[in-house]
Amino acid sequence: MMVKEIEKSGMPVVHMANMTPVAQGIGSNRIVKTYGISFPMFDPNATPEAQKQQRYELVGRALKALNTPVQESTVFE
Amino acid sequence: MKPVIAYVNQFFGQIGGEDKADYAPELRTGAAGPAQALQAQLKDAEITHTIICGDNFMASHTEQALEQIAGFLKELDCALLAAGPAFNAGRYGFSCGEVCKLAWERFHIPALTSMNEGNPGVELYRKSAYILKGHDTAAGMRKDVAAMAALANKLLAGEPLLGADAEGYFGRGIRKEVILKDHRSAADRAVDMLLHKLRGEPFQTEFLVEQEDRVPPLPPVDPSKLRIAFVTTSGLVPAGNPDHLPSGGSTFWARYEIGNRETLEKGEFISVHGGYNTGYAAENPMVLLPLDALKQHVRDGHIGSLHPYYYVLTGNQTAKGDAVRMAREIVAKVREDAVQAIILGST
Repeated sequence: MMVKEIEKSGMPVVHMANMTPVAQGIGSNRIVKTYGISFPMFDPNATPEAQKQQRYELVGRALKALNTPVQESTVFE
Repeated sequence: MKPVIAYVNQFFGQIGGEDKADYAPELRTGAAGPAQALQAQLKDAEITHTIICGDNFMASHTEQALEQIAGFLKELDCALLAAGPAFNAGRYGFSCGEVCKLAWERFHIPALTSMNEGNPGVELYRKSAYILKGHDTAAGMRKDVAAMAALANKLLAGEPLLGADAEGYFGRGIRKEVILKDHRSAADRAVDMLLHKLRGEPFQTEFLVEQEDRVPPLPPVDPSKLRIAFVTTSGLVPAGNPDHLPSGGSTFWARYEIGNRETLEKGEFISVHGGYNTGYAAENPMVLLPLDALKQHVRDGHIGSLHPYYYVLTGNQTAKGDAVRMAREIVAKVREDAVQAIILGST
């Protein structure tokens, strides 16, 4: 709901979320699927080095989503 | 006795709280948790089994969870599936909705549940299930279960339904031909409605045209040229929670400085969110706000610049109206600092 409102105001926005059907249902247009509800940005079972790499790549995906044309609600896996 | 199957999450199935939210689907004989109260009010029907599944398991492994549940349903006789009630709990609403949809679409088992109007599950699943209009918290459990039992009894007895409003569920978008008791024609009713309107009297449309509230996607932007802000609904705050951000039902947001930091360390930041397991965030707050990654992308030239504050609220049980207002307030605030795009992380 917040994401939709932010986009409505003319501010480009990307939604990093785990429950992507919900994110799509509430009207987010650019969605990046995260690792988990309680651990969105990396897998807590990975090594610290791998975790660092995971969050860097996930943010990279969010940046790519901002720069990708979409016609409708789209999940960037 | 008609067989009914109930669905509840790990909490109401008495498996455990957030630490057990990854619990895989289990089939239990008889009625468990709120299903016991439902059973007491059912006429000529028996809850033969209760399916219990952790909300995070359903959200994160949806396909796997549904396959397992489909495996249970395939083997059982079932005249009706009753899920929840889910109140305003977002993940639970999603779980109940997915299971109802599975029962109806794959097995043609009528399914009912109960959710508060603020639950995102309502819009996602009201076409696949009877979703009764429920309370926002478990304090309304007794009434929500009674409403579910009343509708369940009607459905099981094959009694005709009087339509969504009269029965208390969210409209399913189904049009049904009915003969009115007073036999008044559409022309008479339309003229009546017009007269009421002209006199300024209240009147009720007979068919509400649904309007999809979608915002068309904005054109792509190149983040390497933009100033970007990070917003999170995770309840991430400095240790001690200086602004007393609530664990749910946020009516205000807070912002905290990250301009001079490269990382968020254990012990410096915590999450006060009441709707998920905050243990991972306590261990490493960057699981919610990937600050080192954002800063590295700035250095690598992928982000023009990073706004020196992050914005935070607690996403669970926040009313729609508050969410909309806070989104507008945050946009206005970051615009003062020439922010041109937002990354929003949710949990």
